[in-house]
Order: sequence, then structure tokens, then C-alpha cells
Amino acid sequence: MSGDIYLGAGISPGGAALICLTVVCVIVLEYGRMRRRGRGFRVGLTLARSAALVLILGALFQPLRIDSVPEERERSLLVLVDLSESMGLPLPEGEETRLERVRQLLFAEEGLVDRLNRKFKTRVYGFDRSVRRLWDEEELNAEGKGTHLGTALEQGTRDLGDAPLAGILLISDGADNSGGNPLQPAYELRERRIPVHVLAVGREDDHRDLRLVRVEVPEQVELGSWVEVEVEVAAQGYAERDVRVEVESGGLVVAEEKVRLMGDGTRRVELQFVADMLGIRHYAAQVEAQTDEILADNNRQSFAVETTPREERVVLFLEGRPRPEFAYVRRALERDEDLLVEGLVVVNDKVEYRMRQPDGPGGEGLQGYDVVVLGDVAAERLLEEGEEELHRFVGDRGGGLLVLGSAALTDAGQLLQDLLPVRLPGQVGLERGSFRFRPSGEGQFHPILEQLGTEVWGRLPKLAGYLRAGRAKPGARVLFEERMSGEVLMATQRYGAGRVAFFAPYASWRWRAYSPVEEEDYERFWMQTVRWLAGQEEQAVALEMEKFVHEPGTPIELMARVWDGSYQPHVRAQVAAAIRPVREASKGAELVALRPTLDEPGLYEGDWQGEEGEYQVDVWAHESGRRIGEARGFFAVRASRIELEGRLADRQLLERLAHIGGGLFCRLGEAETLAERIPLIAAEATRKVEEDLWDTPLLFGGILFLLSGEWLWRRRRGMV
Amino acid sequence: MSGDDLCARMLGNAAMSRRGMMLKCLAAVAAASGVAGAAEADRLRVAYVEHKTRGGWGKDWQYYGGSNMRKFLSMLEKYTHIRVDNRPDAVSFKDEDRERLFGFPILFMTSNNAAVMSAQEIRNMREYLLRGGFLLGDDCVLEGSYSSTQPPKFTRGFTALMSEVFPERQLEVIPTDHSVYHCYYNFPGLPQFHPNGRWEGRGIFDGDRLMVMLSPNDLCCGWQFSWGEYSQNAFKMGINIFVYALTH
Repeated sequence: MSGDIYLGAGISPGGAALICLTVVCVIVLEYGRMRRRGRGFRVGLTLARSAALVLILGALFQPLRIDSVPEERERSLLVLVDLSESMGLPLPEGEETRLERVRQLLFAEEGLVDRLNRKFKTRVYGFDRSVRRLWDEEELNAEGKGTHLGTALEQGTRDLGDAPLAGILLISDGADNSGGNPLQPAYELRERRIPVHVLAVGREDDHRDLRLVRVEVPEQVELGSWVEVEVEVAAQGYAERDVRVEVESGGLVVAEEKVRLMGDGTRRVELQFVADMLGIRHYAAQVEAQTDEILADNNRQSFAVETTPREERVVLFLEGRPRPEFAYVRRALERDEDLLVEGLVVVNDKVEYRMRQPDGPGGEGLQGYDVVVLGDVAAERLLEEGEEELHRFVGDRGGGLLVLGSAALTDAGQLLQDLLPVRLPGQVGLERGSFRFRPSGEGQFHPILEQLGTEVWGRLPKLAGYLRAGRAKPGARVLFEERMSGEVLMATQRYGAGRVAFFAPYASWRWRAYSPVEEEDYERFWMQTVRWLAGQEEQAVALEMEKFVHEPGTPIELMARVWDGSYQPHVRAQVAAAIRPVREASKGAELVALRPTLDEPGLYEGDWQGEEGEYQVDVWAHESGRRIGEARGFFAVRASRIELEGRLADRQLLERLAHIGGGLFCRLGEAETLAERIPLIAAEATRKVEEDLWDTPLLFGGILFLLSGEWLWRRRRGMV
Repeated sequence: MSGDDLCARMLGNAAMSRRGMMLKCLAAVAAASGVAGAAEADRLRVAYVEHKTRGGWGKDWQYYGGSNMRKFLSMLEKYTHIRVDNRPDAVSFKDEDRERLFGFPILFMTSNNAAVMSAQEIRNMREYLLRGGFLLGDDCVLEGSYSSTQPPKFTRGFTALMSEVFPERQLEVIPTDHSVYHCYYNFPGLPQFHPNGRWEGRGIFDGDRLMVMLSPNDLCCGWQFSWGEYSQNAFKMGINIFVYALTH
């Protein structure tokens, strides 16, 4: 007998036992006083009366048993049909459109739906940017303005509620343009043992395409600084092809890069150009269209960047002892009028020599500094507070950190090691001899080195001594390497909101000393390094928008993060956004209040909807009337042509979707046998069953037997 | 760098703000580096300048600059985190020494006679200094010269030499509020290294940076001999000059 026992009278088992015990005790006491009768008679009567009363009480407590039992339910199969505009495009082999072919496949006599219905309870839904139930084949119209595969999977399963699902059949050309990741819901469904089967529609035999899938760029930069544009190019069918990726503005190419496509998939490309004009400027990143490329419209994405006047940056240079490296690097940095350098040199254990600037920052900790330079710094004595402060300074606040190589890094703490763009070997070693260095292949195109010009590399002097830094971490960029061994001498990486550079040679001052006075490569190198590190603005407020172009008629999600003076999430801020058209400033701003989200402290959200156009959004954060900070961003609202651009089926995406979703992948030509190939998955539904234990003849028979027996016994003894 | 640098500050001698604590933490890091970063190859190497003199026996730069410099460099390492090779080298400004010359961030030049240099040496000296090098000239004054109203021979020769190296600049008196008097040891007024006179340093600047310093009455004899408080002052001033040269 399985299941759990409960008392329907609402009394606890302990209470019920206490009542029964009390009753039994009373009976024992009462019968105990009948001293004239024999002992056996008294015990017998006590037991019979007690048992009868306990059974009666038990019945009054209404005991019941609750159990879960497996239930046979009809299995459902959710069929999701893509109804976006791209499904209305004709198939290559005839006049028939993709959706017409799907309709024929699904709803013809003895079609896929009929055959699926023999195994499952089939429910057909249509989707584009949302999901709806289809009751009739006439509702299959390719009029949707987008294809949101992830939304379809999530909403479709939610709509079915508790119905046991044997799987999902997704019928689409795969031209997802939701901006989200459709693979995540597929993975979650697989975890719930709901396989996602995919039927791919569209042209596959000649799938050659290049497209920009992502463009990342800072929205604000300072005049004269480098704008770094990170572009992700998706390629199919162009292996071993050299293509040009460029950024243009007003028909003028401002940056370009030639890349070799190694195969199908995505390739990250970084481009840089100098922001040389104040104000907002519009740009477009594009990958060169190929002559045999059927579709070239998806090769381009636009964005805007605001160039602001240059601001002074404050550098804190920490050094473990007076040494030429400190003097020369500091001197080089002071050549830059926009850099304010403060120094702190430990002369001995008791005395530090502090070189403060009259206009230096006056805040707490590292607040007010833009870049920290750690000279011959031993981490073994870096207090936890100091390491954590550096971590927050770089990761959260967007500060820059330059670590100069020294033997002191032998004992670098974990937090400091995390910040470094190199993975220090277990045994950090010093190379003491002289060596020559050169820029690495990718280093020549780094903003720090690119501005120096290639002629510099021919005249780099010999240096003496460097720290063997091990290998660069994934995502880090190597700038300099040792000429003979190729060991990493300088590397950079982005860390959180900030940037970190590591420079392994510990006597770079010789570069200056062995170069003619008129050559200023050394000074330019250090100025450019620190300028690059200081490239990120100090952030009290950051605007987060997923993409630049939004479709008309859809709410645009505005999200802002706010930090307090210690770079901790600020949870009590009043945050508002002002949105105004970029080209019609006279139109005035529309205000949107951003409210704190429940998910993450310090994150505020709101939404806005507007007409087609390009907009500037300014976000302000205040607390009790005190300004915390502000941020600016840009976005555009315009009708996306991506549905019609996506003439080609994204077979790769659909295949991955089926793979991650644990289902079958098949093409239109293989759909005839699909119904038979989709496996039956046992429904695991269960049902709760309640059974009354007090409402049984046996119980009442038992009570009757005990009471009658007890009465007869007493009668025979002359007690009745 | 302006002359407004703050003076050396004792760690932990005042109630500290959070910034102070933070900087102290990081300073502690830096301090530790003096031990951990003691790479032999990174030791500071100092050289005295080989030069001809007008009068004397030709090698007096070596005589006056030898043992006292070694003694000073030992004191420098003892009282600071500066890692020093305490065997001073010798280098000239001649072309044959050019490769070695630029490897010394600080040069020391002394004699009790006027230095004489060729045009080639003068050109190289200028190049060395403008590339960031530092030159300390110290007049090893003969005892009788202290009371003389006329500057001693080395000082006169050094001044003339500098006017050739930097015709566009002057050897000027270093003001007493300059960092070199305060960056490590604090000298409220002009230091005194000898019973017969106070020390008034002169220098040539490259922008704000002091790149040439002339000690008109001798530091190195203060290092060499036990003159009590005067010797202590000489060591302290020497340490200040080196700390300044390695931080500016």
C-alpha cells in the first residue's frame, strides 16, 4: 500500500493520538475499579471497549490515503509554422511559394497532419513575431514582419499549458531576426525532455552569403581618439575567400580591413578610425558584396558615434622604488598635455615620495583616476582591499590598468592575475640578457601601435631584461613579442568595463636613451598606451541597448545601469531618459521614467515607441536631487527589410536548433516520412488519487463486533 | 613636473582617509617590490665621467670619484629601496664610448681642476642629457679654496663647459623650495657640508626637469671623510639628488 495518510477532520495525527490515549485511559480506570470481578474479565472488557472506541474515534477523524498514479493521456505534438514574409518567396524549382509547399505538405489528404494525428494530438500554430493557434489552413498567410524562432518555441509551449508534449515540429526557413538567441529555448526544452524537430524550408543548394550579424562600437569618444569598431561577419560558401570589411561615412571609407574567410561560420573583425570631428556622425559598417552573392543587402549595418571635446585624464603611477623606468615613463606621459600624472614612489619601508598634482582628484580610493600604472609592484603584499579596489576600478568603473613587468609579479595574487592579459607561468622567470622586440602580426593593427607608424619598427633598439610572461589569455591581443623566441612582451585585453595592458620589459627607458633626441617613438608609445587605457569613460550610469535599428511598431527597451561612488549597484536612484530626434532637435524631447528591475540591483528599465527616424537618448540618474551621472546613446527606428532579404534558408541555424533541441532535422524533400520518424515519447503525466479509509464496511463491522461481543460477555456475567 | 611636488610623507603617521588607506595598500605592494624585484640586471649602474683637466695629473677624476662614490652608493642602497651596483664604472663622452654611455641613467663628474672636452665630447654630452640622462658635477674643492672669493677651478671649468654644451641655457641657482631639497630628506634651508661655507646647488633644466646639477663645494669629500653632521648632510643631499634623478 503506497501513498500518504492524512486526517480529513483537520486534526493533527498527534492530537488524534492524544484523544485516543485519553479515552483508553478513562476506560482502563473505570474498569479497574470493578475489583469484584476476575482480572481476566476486566482486561478483556477493557480491551474490547477501548478497541471499539478507538475505531469509532478513528472513523470520526476521517483518515484518507493520497497517492499519485500514472495516467495515460493523449500525447500532443506542437507544429509551429513560420508565417513571415520570407515564406511567401517562391521556391527555386517553380512558381510555388515556400508556404504553399508547406500548406500542401501539411493539409493535403493523407498529409503530414493526418499522419501525425494517428500518433499524436497535433496542434498547429503559426508564428512570426508572435504565436497564434491556426484553426484552418486558410490562416496560413506569409504576412509576418519578422521571424522570432525563440519566441515561437517559448510562447507555443506556454500556450499548451500542462498538456503532455511529445515534441515540437518547427517549420521555417530559419531567417531569424529577433536579435535574441533562439538556441536557448531549444536547450531548455530539451532539458524538459521535449525534443525540437526541424523541417527546413528554402533554397539550400546555392547558399552563398555574407552578412553582418553584429556591430559593436562606443557611442561616445573624444576628439582625436580612436574609435574601435568590432564587427562580426557571418559567411557561408566563401571559404578561402579574401573579403574587405570597411566603415564608411558619407561615402568616404574611414577604416578598412581585408580578411580571409576560412570556412562557413562567423569571423570577428576589428577596425579603427580616428574621431576627427566634433558632434554626432553617422557611419555604416559593411562587408564587401561578392559578385556571385545572391543577396547583398544584409552586408551593411549603420551606427552613430558622438565625438566630444578632449578631456584631461588622470594617471596614478605607483612604483616600488626610485628607478629609471619610473622617471622615463612618467616623463614620456607628461609630454601629453591631456594627461595629468601623479606619482607615488616608495623610497624605503617608511617613506613614500608622493608627487601630487595641484589639480589632481580629491575623492576616495581610486576615484577620480582614469589609469593606474603599477611599476615594480609585488603582489605578495597587496592587501585584499587594494586588489579588490583595483578589480572594481577596472572591471566595474571602466578604468585602465598598466602593469609593468617585474620579478615582483612572481607572487601576484589571484585577483591581480585575473586582470592580466597573460597567464603567468607557475614559475615566473626573468630574462636578463639583451633582446630585440617587434610588433606581433595582430599587434601592428592595434590602436596603440597603429598610430606610431610602421617606420618605427625598423629602429627599435635593443633592450635588457624582461619578465617571461607565459601565454596570452584567450581574447587578449599580443602587441610586442621577442624577436627570436616569439615570447609575449606586451599584451592587452578588455576586462569588464575597463582595459588592461601588460608590458614585460623592465628597462624600457633604454628605448628612450638609445634613440636620437628628435625621435619621439618612446614618448608616443607610452602616451598612446595610456590614452588607449583611458579610453573608457568613468561610468556612474551606462545605457544598455541591444541593437541600433528597431522595427516600427515595437516597443524599444531602454535599460540603464547605475553605480554609486564605490562602484556598487545603486538601488535608490531616480532614472529618466529623454529621447529626441537627432536631425530635428527643435522637436523637443520625450521623457521616459526608468524603473528598477526586479532581477538585478542597479538595473533600471523602461520602454518607448516612436515613428521612423534616428534618435538620441540621454539618461540621467539622480538621488534626492543630487546628480549621480548621465549617459548618452543613439538608435534608429526603421522598417526592417530583413524578412525579404533573408531569401536563403539559414540551414546552419536550423540544424543547430534541431541538434541542441535533441530532435530530427529534415529538408522539405524528406518530409514524407517525417511523421513515422518522429518518435513516440511516453507521457509522464500522473494523477492524484484520494481514498477514504474510514468509510469501509470492515471498519463498521469491526466496531459492531467489538461492541456486541463486549455486551454479550457482560450479559453472561450478569452485568446487564 | 613643476616644483610643487609634495614632500616625502611618513606612512601611517596621520589619521588616514580611505584614499590614504588605499594608496598605502598599494604603496605596500610597491615597497615589497624592492625585495621581490631585486633583479640583478635591473640594478642601477652609475659611472663617473672620464675627462681631461686643465692642470692636475690627468687622472684626478678617478682619484676623487673612486672610493667615496662606492661608499655613497652603499649608503644609498642601505637607506632606500634603490638597487645599486656599488662598483661605479667609468665612461667618457667620446664616440668610442657612445654605446656604453647611454646605458647609465646617472653620471658623476668630479675633480679639483677645470674639465676640458672636445667638440665631439660636448656634442655627445648634450645628446646624453637631452635623451634623459642626469649629470651631477661635484667640485672637489681643495681646502684652501673654500675661503676664496673666486669660484674654484672645477666650478669655473664646469660652468664654461656647460655654456658650450647648452649655449641657450644657463646654470642657475636651484631655489630652496625645489624638490631636490625635499624629496626624501627635508632641508629647510641650504645644507652645509663643510665648516667653511653653505652649499648652493646650481643646475640646468630641461623644461621642469633638472638634468645637470653642479655641487660647488664638495659632496664627495663629505662622503669620504668623517665630518660628523657635515658628512651626514652630504650623504642626505646625495640621496636626495639620486631619488630626484630617478623619479623625474
